[in-house]
This record gives sequence, C-alpha cells and structure tokens, in this order.
Amino acid sequence: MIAQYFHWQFVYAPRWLLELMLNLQRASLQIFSLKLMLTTLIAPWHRDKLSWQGGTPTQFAMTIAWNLISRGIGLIIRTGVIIIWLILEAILIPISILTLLLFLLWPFLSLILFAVSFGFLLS
Amino acid sequence: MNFVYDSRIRYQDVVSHRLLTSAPVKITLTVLLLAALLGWLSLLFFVSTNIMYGLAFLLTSLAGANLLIFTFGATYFKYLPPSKTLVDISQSKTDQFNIADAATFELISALGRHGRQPNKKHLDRGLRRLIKSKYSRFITRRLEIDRQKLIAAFETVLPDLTWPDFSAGIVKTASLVPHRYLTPDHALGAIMLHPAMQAVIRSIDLTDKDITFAVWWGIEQRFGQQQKRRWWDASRLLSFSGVGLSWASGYTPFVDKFARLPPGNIWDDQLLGHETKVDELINTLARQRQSNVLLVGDPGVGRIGIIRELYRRVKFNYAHPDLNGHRLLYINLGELMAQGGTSAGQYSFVSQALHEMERAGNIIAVIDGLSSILGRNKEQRVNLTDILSPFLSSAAVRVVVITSTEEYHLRLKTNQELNHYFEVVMLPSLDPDATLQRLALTVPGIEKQSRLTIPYKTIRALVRGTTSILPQIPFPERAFDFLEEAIVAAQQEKTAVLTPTHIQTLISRKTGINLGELASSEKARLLNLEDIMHLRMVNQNHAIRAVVKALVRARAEVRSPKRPIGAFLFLGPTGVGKTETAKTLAEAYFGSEDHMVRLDMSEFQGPDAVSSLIGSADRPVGRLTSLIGDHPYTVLLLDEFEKASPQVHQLFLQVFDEGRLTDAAGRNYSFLHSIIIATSNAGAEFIRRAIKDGQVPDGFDAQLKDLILSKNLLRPELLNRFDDVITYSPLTPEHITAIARLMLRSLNKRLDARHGITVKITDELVEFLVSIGYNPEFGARPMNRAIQDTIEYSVAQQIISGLTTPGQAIILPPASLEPLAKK
Repeated sequence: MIAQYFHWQFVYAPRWLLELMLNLQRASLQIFSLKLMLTTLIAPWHRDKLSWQGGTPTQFAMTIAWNLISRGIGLIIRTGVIIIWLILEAILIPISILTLLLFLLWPFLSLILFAVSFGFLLS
Repeated sequence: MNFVYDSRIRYQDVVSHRLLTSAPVKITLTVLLLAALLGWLSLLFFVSTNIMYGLAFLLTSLAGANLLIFTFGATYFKYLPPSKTLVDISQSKTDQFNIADAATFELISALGRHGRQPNKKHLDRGLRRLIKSKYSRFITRRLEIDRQKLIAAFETVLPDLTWPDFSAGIVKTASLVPHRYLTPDHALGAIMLHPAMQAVIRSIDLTDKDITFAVWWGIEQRFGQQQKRRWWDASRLLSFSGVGLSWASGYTPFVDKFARLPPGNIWDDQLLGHETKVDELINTLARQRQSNVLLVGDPGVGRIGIIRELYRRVKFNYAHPDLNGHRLLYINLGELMAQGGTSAGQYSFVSQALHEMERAGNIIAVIDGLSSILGRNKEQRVNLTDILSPFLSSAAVRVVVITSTEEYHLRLKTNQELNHYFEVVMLPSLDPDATLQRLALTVPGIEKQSRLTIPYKTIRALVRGTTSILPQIPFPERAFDFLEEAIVAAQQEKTAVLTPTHIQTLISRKTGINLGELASSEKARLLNLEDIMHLRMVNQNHAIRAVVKALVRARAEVRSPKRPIGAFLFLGPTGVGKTETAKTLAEAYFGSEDHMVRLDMSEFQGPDAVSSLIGSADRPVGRLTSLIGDHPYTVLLLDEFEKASPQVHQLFLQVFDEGRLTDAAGRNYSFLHSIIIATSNAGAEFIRRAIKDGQVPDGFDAQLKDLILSKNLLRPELLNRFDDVITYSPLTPEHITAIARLMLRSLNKRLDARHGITVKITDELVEFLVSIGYNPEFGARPMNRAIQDTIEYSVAQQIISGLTTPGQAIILPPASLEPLAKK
C-alpha cells in the first residue's frame, strides 16, 4: 500500500490534475471563442458593410466611413472579450499552478505543520 | 486457452479501499476538521497564546494528513484501470490467462476473497455474494428474478461448477456483450447463461437472448451513470458553447421569425441504430459544394432526434471544423408559405428567406414540409426548382431537407434537377433489436415520469407484439405509441407495474387479435385443429390433414421464422370446399372467420397488375399491401391464382421466400403472421377423372404437378415454394348427403335464433335434396341453391302467412317441395 500511495501522490493524481487543468484551458478557449475572435478581429460587425457602386466623392467617403465604423464596432467588442479572457487566465493559471504545487507538497506541509505545532506547544 | 481466477493481489486493493474509507477514518476526519476549524476560529477571535497556535497547527496537520489518506483511499483503487483488457484476453498467446487482471474493481470486490488456491467453497461463497450484491440488483430486478431463488437454483443445478469453468463463462459472456473490462454483469450473465441453467431460465419464460440483453442493459445503465458523475472528463467540460459565434455572420431577422428548434421527446435523445447517419449527415454538409442532404424517413423513425444531435454537435464544436459554430435553423415551409398568401407571395417569401440565409453565411437550414412547395402541378415544380437551384449549388447555405419515404419515392426521386444537388441519407424503420435497446435505455426516464415500473418482459412483449402491425408507422414510434397508451391504461388501473398483459390487451384491442391467447392456447388448438375443422367440413380428409401437418410443423418453431406461417396451393373443381377450408382455418387458428381476406387474382392479369397490388406513383395505396397492413394476422386467400400475370407471380415469390414485401412508397409489409392459400381450378378435369370415391391413386400428386407445369400454368420455382399442394377430390353423393345435413343444421340455427322455429330433418327430406341438388361438376353449390329454392322459400311462405308458432318443428314433405325445385 505504501508504494501505491507514493504512486498516487507523485504520479497518478498530479497527472489527473494536469489533465484537468489542460481541459479547463481548452474549455476557456472554447467559451470565449478565442480563435474566432482573433481571426475575425476587424471583420465587419455582422457583415454589415456597404459596397461602393459609383457616385459622388461624398458618397464614397460615407461608404468608407460606414465600413470603418462597422469594423470598429467589431474590433472594440472582440477586443473586450479577449481582455476578459486574459483577466480570467491571469487568475486561472496561477491558481492551477498553485493547486498542483500544493498537492505535491501536501504531505511535506503536513509534516512541517506538525513539527511547528510542537514548537509552539513546547515553547 | 485455460482461464483461471486469481484475485489475491487485486483483492488487496479492495481491502485497502475499504480500510481507508471505513467509518472510523471518516469519523476521525470529520472530528479533526471540525476541531481544526474551531481552533483557528478561537485563535482569531478569542485566545492567541502559543498553546492555541500549537493546537491549531497540530489539528490542521493531522486533519490534512487524514484528508490526504482518505482521498487516496477513495480515489486511487476504484479508478485505477485493470492492467489487461478484454482485447488482451482474445489476443493472448499464452496457455493460461488470469481473468482477474482484466476484471474491474467492482467484480473483484463482488466475488470476494479467496485463499491461496481458489476452491469450490470460495466459488460458492463468491457467487452468493455476487448475486446478493448491489451489482446484481439492476439485472435481477429488470428480469423479475428472485435472487434467493437464483441462488438456490445454481446451487442445485451447478454443484460441480469450477473456477476455470466459471471464468471461461465470464469471458464468453463478455464476448457477447463487449466492454473494455470484465464487469459483475458479465459474471452474473455467466451464471445464468451456463448450459445447465437453461431449463431454469426457460421455466421463467426467458431465453439466452434475453439474458444477454439484460447484461448489455446493466452495463449501459451503470456506465451511463458513471459517465454523468465524471465532471472532470473532457467531454463534460467542453460541452459549453462559445460566445459571439455569429458576430462575424449576417443577421437573419426574417428567417428568425419562423425558425426554431423542434421540441424533442425523451426518446429523441437516443441515437441507437442511427449513429452512422449523423456522421453521414455531417460529412456531406461539410463539403464545399453540393453540401445538401435529403433526409428520408417516415415520421416517427427519429429524424428530429438526428437533427437535434446535429444541433448539439455543431453548437458544442464537435461536428466538423467547417461546421462548428454554425447556426442551425429549423424551418417549416408550411408556416412560411402560409404567411405568403398568394402564390407569388409565397415564392417571394421563400426567395427572401434563402437570400437572407446566404448573406449570413453561417446557416445550416433544416427544411421540413417540402411537400407544401413541391406542388402536384408540374409547372409549380419547375418554378421552384429554378428558385432553389442557385442556393443548393453553393456552399453559402447548407440545406437539410426532411421528407417522408412516400414523398421521396413517389415525387422526389424522379425530379432529376433537385436530386442532383442532394445526397440522400435514408432512415429506414429501426429493426426490432435496435428498438428494444432504445426502449431499454429510455425506460428509466419514462418510469420516473409515469411512476410505474416497467420490467424487461413488458418491453419484450411490446416489441414482439408491434413488430408486424401498423407498418405505416415506423419503429421506434410505433412501440412508443403503444407504450404511452399502455402506461395511461395502467395508471388508470392504479397499478404499480406495467405488465405484458397490459400490452397484449392494448394490442388485441387495436388489431382484433388476442395475442396472449394465440400463444398459450395455440398448442391446444393446433393439436385439435383436425377435429375442429372436420366439424365444419365434410370429406377432404387428405386436404385437412396436409394443412394441419404443415401448420403444426410451422408453429412448433421448427419452421424458419422468416416465412409466412404456411403457404398452400389448393387444386380442385369448383365448390368442393376450398374457400370453406380457408374460412374454417381462419376461425380455428385466428379465432374468427373475419380473419380472412380474399383477393380475386383474375383481376390482376394486365400490365398494371403489380402496381395495383403494391401501389405506384399515381396510386400510392396497393390492394395487397393495404390488406396485409390492416390485417397482419390473417388467412390470405388468393382465388384463381394461376390467372394472375407472371409479374404478379414473381411478386409472390418474394412473399413466400422472405415473408415481406416493399410497396411503391418504400414501406415494408410483413407476411410473417399470415397463412397464404392460393386456389386454382387448374387440372380440375384430371382430378375428376383420377379420383374416384375419394381414393387418391399412387403417384397422383407428382402427376398433377407435371400436368400443371406442362401446361405452363405455374412456374416450377413458384410451385416449389408452397408448403404443400393439396388436391380437393370431387364430392360423391355420400358427401353431398352429409353436406346437406350440415346445411340444414345451420339453417335451423338461423331459424331458431330469429323465429324460434326449426325444420325437421328427415331422411326423406335429405334424400330429396340430394336428388335435386347433386351435380358433381359444381360441387356443393347446387345443394345450397336447392335448399334456398325449396326449403327456405317454403318456410318463408309459412312465416309470412302466420302459420308458424315459436317452438314448432316444421315438417316439409318432399312431395310438397317438388314443384319448387328447379331442374
């Protein structure tokens, strides 16, 4: 059983934790549709674009303006989503790494706490 | 290969697991955690001395260690996969294989501990533990097996069972119900499938197939539940849809008004039997060009279930890279058209919808109700094809059209232009086995909703009973319809269990056949069939005996189950009892004369004979198929069979061989529960000359067959497919005398019931009737006429003149009847 415990403590469970973290990362990428956000960053918002079919320079200017606005809306919203994702990652990744470390060090931490407790009790 | 079971090493894991998750450990853990919490709280709010610190740290460290040990015990042993799999067993090249290496934790735990050498005592104990354990609960409950009785049975019947024997049995069961590892269900199945247990299993009306099914069910159930609990699995975590998937695609305000996902039933979520169809669908839709699918299936076969699965896969990104994130819109064209008003308005609606979807670029359109735009008018069809074609040929909109088999076969298959753009995915009616599986997986949910228990035998009866009826409704819908009705009936009765009797009562109410009775009293009826038939018929012993012989052989399960119950050819002159035999058979075998349907084959001689039998584009309903569809349990009488066209004979070849027929609309009709009787007057002369006084000369049957073949009346391969060719001998005066008495008796029954009078049957009267009613050429029909003209007329006269009183036995002297007789 002791050998099995060590296997679990340092191989089996950490591997499970790593898999879990990887899956969480994949899930976060999927929920925020990150790949789509990046590839369509400056795409017109809901394909709302005007195509210029000849006319006065003013109309030309307005067409360009409208298209820029449409792309601009898309850019702003998508960038917002990416930023939110980054914030989430900034929280998630450290927590994941910390959890893994804590788990690996758990038995040692228990021993250390045990020793420290005696320190306090005997002082 | 020898199989052994040595679980000493693996059983250590079971012991460790039990030890580390035992009650004392749990209690200690709870106490320590609470104490640590209390310690820290006191430290923070009340006392903060060194001793408190020390205590808090101590309790925390102990609690932490305890928690670690408990987590180890709870998660490691149970979830560690066995070192070998079922595949390893089959591929192993060694002489001996220890199946404990491929057994799941549950199986090792269920069979318990054994000593250094597993012996008989351990086996008995292990089997008893297994049967009493929670792992057997599901299967035994479903099969309605009493566990104590099962233990008693195997102890009586398998006193010499050894470990290698048992292990081999487990492997064999696992090969029938494959799973990655060996589970307790396999072990339970091994006990019940042991050859020595056959008699016991049969005595509770179960077969090996039923046991195997129950093992499958148990495994599906258990692992389905386990999957639901594994929240850490990739498939669960990734089952969330993304945000903003349609931000880069166009708006579709117009179509959104009509588009919605159709609601599903509890059984739409099962895809059993149709798994490959969704993949076919996705692969076609992901193409760059001609990415449209025609989903052909009758309502109720599971089309909406497939659409919902497509929707799920596309939404949660596990369909295809080119399809993931698309929007699935379900549109009912009927609704769309209804908004359009005029015909021009309708076209513009459809056009607008298609344009919008194309601009959006990320739409998968599921279109239902195509028949409403594909008008019967050829012109309308052409116009709409023009509108649809540009969209169908690009990849901008991917279209799935849902249609029924009738619509497809009769209208769409011939429309070359539309056909060109579509890949056809057929959804045939599910076969009975797949239907049974779907029912099994859906039953737990149904039980919860209806608050009834539905054991295995009930769903087995359901599938068996509904296999041959109502072919126009496909499986699984047909089975579910009946299940729903039966549930309602049972709920009204306020019972807790839905039994096969509920199902059989319902089915017999719908079809007129008492299925339950057919099974149990069938044997009695078969054995007495000859006597029963002789009550109604005179002579023709040879014929009756031949029919009964063939039927008994058929029903004793010696026959092939893929043919009609019996197929007979009756040859003989007119009026000798061929039709009467069919009627008698219908009454004796199916319970009533009404279970006989008749077709006059001389009507089916022309070039359109086959299409009038099985239907065509212009005439969707065929006579033969609609008859057998409405009366699947019947005697099918085909009069003057030789007169039908050769194509019709060809059709019946398929019926005799396979027991089923496919109509013009692609539906299957089952003849498996019918008795087919073809009659013919062919060779009547020959019969009359050859058979004198009812004596059949030797070699007669062969001579008769030769005659028929030589005259090309029936092809050899058709003649050979009849179970028996039965000749009807002409009637002799003695026969006619007996028939006359029979007819008079049935006349008396009628008169008695209606007027309370009878006719006295004297020998003179009968002799008189025979003298005027006997004509060997026309059989018994002249006798019928003779009785009508003389006796019935006289009686009618007396009734009208008021000369009769109830209870009277009228005497009709032949002399008085003579003037009435027509010569």
